[in-house]
Amino acid sequence: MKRLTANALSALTDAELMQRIGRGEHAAFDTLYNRYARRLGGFFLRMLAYDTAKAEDMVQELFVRVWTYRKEYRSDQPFASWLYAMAYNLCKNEYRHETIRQAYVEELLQREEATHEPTEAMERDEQRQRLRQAVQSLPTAQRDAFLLHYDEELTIPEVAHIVGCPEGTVKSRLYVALESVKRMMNEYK
Amino acid sequence: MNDNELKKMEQESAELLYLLREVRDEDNATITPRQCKPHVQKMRRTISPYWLVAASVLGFVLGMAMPRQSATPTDDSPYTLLADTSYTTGRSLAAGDVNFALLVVN
Repeated sequence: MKRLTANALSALTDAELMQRIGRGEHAAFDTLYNRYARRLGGFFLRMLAYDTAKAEDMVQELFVRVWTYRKEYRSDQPFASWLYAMAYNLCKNEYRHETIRQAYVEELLQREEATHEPTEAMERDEQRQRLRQAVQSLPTAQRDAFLLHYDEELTIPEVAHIVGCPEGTVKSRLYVALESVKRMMNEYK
Repeated sequence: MNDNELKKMEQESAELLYLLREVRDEDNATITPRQCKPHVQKMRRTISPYWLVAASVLGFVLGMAMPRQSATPTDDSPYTLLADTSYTTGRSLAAGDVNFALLVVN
């Protein structure tokens, strides 16, 4: 297979890059990493209650796995779905996960008590913090489906495949989660 | 769960979902991707023991291939040299005597 320049590689689809990675092409791996690292970092950040260092470590861990299991990827399945399934499993393996989340929600509550007179910018920041808090305080199953579908923009069948439950269950979780977040945000107003 | 119910809820929450994506982009921007070179780590892990074995084999082969010194005295052996340099000791050595100083040098 002909070696391509970095620019040419960045024009390839994820599946095409994976095909090259499967043959051991390092430059294709770097391209894929640059494409997804920040996005996956953000996902880990939200899944692991905003522990930035942990999220960055998880990105490394995830891409080491992508390299290790590169030959197991089948080009007929969407790459994002395959990647997020691995990322989701990494989160599940993170034992401190729940404890961290609880600690973060408590920290947000304390921050809220210490709020001073609101300016417009502060109000906007506070609204965003409220939203983060609302999402973090959802039950784990609802929050996972919510983040995968609305933040990571995966389809409902993809989410169902990743979390291992029927599509109908994912839809119910999304509905309830959305309702809860909306209610929490309205209480704030 | 009916598809329409979820769609309706999403339409009603459009503003919230927009804010959610803004928050997502803000969060993602705080991430600084580090270099990730698992292929390099892999190379180090596999090549290192290989080189160790290869170096050992090469050392053994070269060791075996090197010519060994013959036990039999030849013209340029220390025994012959003794005849020319025996003046340093002030006496000639008898046949079969070995000058150990010269042996060390050679």
